[in-house]
Order: sequence, then C-alpha cells, then structure tokens
Amino acid sequence: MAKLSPFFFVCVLIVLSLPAYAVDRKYFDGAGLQRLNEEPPHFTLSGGSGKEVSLEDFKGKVVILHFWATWCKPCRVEFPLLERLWQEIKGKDVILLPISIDENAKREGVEAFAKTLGASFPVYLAREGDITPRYWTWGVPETYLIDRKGRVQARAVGAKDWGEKGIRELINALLEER
Amino acid sequence: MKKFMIIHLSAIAVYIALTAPASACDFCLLSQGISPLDTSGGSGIRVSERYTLLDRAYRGRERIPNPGAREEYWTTEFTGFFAVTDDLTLLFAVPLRKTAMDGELNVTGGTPVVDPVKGGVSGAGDAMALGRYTFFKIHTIDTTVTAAGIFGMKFPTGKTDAKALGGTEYLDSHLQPGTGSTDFLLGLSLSRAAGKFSLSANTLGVITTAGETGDASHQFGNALNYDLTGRYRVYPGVISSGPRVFLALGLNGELRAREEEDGIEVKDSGGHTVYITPGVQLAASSRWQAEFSYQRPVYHNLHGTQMGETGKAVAAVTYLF
Repeated sequence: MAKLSPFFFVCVLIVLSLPAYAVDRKYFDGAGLQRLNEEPPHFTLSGGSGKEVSLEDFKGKVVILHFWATWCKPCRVEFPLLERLWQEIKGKDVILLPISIDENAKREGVEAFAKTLGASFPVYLAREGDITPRYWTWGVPETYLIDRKGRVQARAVGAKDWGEKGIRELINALLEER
Repeated sequence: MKKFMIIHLSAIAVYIALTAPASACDFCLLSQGISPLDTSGGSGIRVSERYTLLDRAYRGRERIPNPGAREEYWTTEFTGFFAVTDDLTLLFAVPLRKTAMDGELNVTGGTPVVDPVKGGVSGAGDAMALGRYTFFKIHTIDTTVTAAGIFGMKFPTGKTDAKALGGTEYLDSHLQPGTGSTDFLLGLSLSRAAGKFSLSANTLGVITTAGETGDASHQFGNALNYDLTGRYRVYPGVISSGPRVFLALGLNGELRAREEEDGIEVKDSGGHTVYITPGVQLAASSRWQAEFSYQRPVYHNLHGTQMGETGKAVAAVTYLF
C-alpha cells in the first residue's frame, strides 16, 4: 500500500473542518441571503399578554427572527412584505418573531405602529426580554432564519422582498428538512 | 505526490520572484474603499482625485538635502465597477494625469545636483481592467470573513512622448501620462468585519513588460503594493438607513524593482516606501459615499539617490447603482 503524504492529511482536515450546511447552497444563492450555520444565542421575550417565550420553545419549527425599529425607514417598507409572507405561511410549522429594538417607545405605541403598517402578527420588544444586541450587530432591519434543529441557517441584512421566489424556496427547504 | 509538490513549490517560487521590489507607479494603486488597494463589490462609479508631492531627496534610507528639485502629480481616476454575481466584480479604471516638474534631481560625482529642467503634461493615463472574485466567505452572528482574488491588466493607452519646456528633451518616464507597457496585476484581499470594526489586508503584484518613454525603450520593474487597514464606524450606534461615518487607519507600502532603459538598469530607481494612512469615510446614503485619506511616508529605502514622496492625498466620491 502506498504511503500517504502528510500534505494529503492536511487537505482532508481542512475539508472536514469546513462548515457542513444542512440545506443546499443553491437555496441561499437564490434567496440572496448570507449563509450561517450557528447555534443562536439564547433569549427570552415577553409577549403582550405577559407570557414569556424563549427560543427553545420553538424547536421543531422554522423560526423567522426579525429585528426592526420604529425609527427605521427600510423597516417600514419591509413590514407589509413580511405580513404578506406571514399570511401565506402561518398555517405551517413557522414562527415569526418580529422584535423591536426601540429603547424608549412604549409597548402600546410599538404595537399601534406595527398595525398601521398592516401587521397582524404579534410584536415583541427587546428591552422587555433578555436578548443580546449581537443579533442586530449589522443594524436593522436584520432577519435570521432558524431551522427545526434550532440552528441559524441564514441571515438577511437590510430590507428584503419576502415575496421573492428564492426566499420562499429557502423557507420551504427549511420546512422540508427533518 | 512528489511531482505535485515540486510543481506546487515551483509556483510559489515563481510568485515570489515576480513580486520582487519593482518600480513605483502612481496609477497602480486602485481603490474603491478607504484603503489604497481595497476593492469591494457592488456596482457603481467612483471618481477620485490623488495628489502626490515629491520634494525630498533620499540616498537609501537616508534623507539628504534636496538641491531644489520638485515633482507634483495630480491623478483624476474614473472607475466603473459592476457586480456580475455576488462573488464576482469587474472594474475598469481610466486615469487622467497631470504632472509638473521644477528641477530634475541628478547625481554628479556622488553629489546630488538639480538640473534646471521644467515641464509637465496633462493627458489620459493607462487604463486598467480588473476582476475581483470572492472565493471564501464565512458569516457568523457577529463577524464576516472574506477572501478574494484580484486579477487584471493595465493597457498602454497613455501617451509617453511629452517633452520638457523648451521642447528639446523628453520628460522622465514617471512624468509621462502613460508607460507604453501592458502589465499584469494579481492580488489577494482579506477582510474581517465584526460589528463597527473591520480590518482588511490587501496585496497587489504588478508584473511589467517593456514600454517606451519618448524614443527609448523603458520598463518599470515589477511591483508589490500592500496594505493593512482598520476601519471603525463612529456614527451611528445602530445602522439603519441614515448616514454613517467611519475613521480609518492603515499601513501600506510599495516595493519597487529597478527600472530599465534601453536594456540598461537604472541604478537610481526603485525601492521600498511605507506609509501611514489616516482617513475618514462618509456613507451619506445607501448610494453616495465620500472619503478622504492622506498617505504619509514613514519609511524610505530607495535604491541610489532619488526623489522621495512627501505625501499623497486622496479624495473620492462613489455612487452606487
């Protein structure tokens, strides 16, 4: 048997250390989203009824984690598009968590603001929960797609057209993954 | 396997040889961002104005009294860049150069003297076409790391036969708008962004061919340009759609090999210059950006006796489609 060069083993190690993505790359390219494969930082949020929710509650479902603010102009453009997406997918195993990072606005004001943009989904406030600002490092709006296993798979930095075919296909691919 | 290693190591050796110290060329530094070599993605147009002043004399590392020579260069560069895909960007740059010389530095019997030659010229310089391909990117919640390869060519579109005042002799090759040569560019760009702070490291090698100055064959030597630049967003705290302000500080350098004229090596040419480059960048909106930076030389190691740079200022405006 021929002796294998150490160089060969280095190459194998490099290949094995590359991140293994569960969903095919073509879905990310088609959606124009950044591809991640990471355990998201834990967080808890308080809903309007006072009930506390955490990311772990949604394991087994696809989670769309959306960070926005009332002072963010692109967020206002994006909200109706998110609402349209929500109307199409809300019967499926998908959770939409829009989290406002407003520091001073009251809950009633944020909810009323979201309603004026056509949102029928509940909104959350980052300051009413325990959530790291690392999630909005790159600014707002910023949206993460988390798969059924609880891993962050994709990120959108800036406003997106959530009706785009590529994004729908990516969400469907995450839903089909078991 | 042995054959593969020989080929692999030979390729590395060839790369090192080709990036040996080479001649400076103001037009070799192509930039879209605040660091001299930073080419980024997207599509748009950039117009930059670069002013370079040489009024210092050096012998090797030593600064020596300047007997009165002075050179100035103004380069207005128009760069169009187009994102073919998320990973591939094509760039095309055309410089307009204006040069001026008041006194030419020469060495007589080991002593630097100034010849009372004056002159200057304006005209289009050598056009450049570049491609940038991002072959590696890793995103996490906090960071983005990318690596890109840069490849391109510089074309001999600029004139090389301008004469000094009096019309009796041709201006020095550095003062001509063009080089007369087709050169090849190859580089690597690495960047890591984490929140408000980003760090980029870039290198661009230039493999030159023979051109001409006036009626003589002339070749600028191979060059290696490099930079390491940190950039920090000072405003705002959280990005939305409003203006953003960045401060930058970089260390960059040029390694230049000696030139050749009519096949004979020019002793007093080429060397190594290192700069500190502070700068500021304003992203006024999602489409408009402006920046200003100043490259201050902090180290010269020039072959023989030569003029050295006092400084280089760059101002630019970019419009993104």
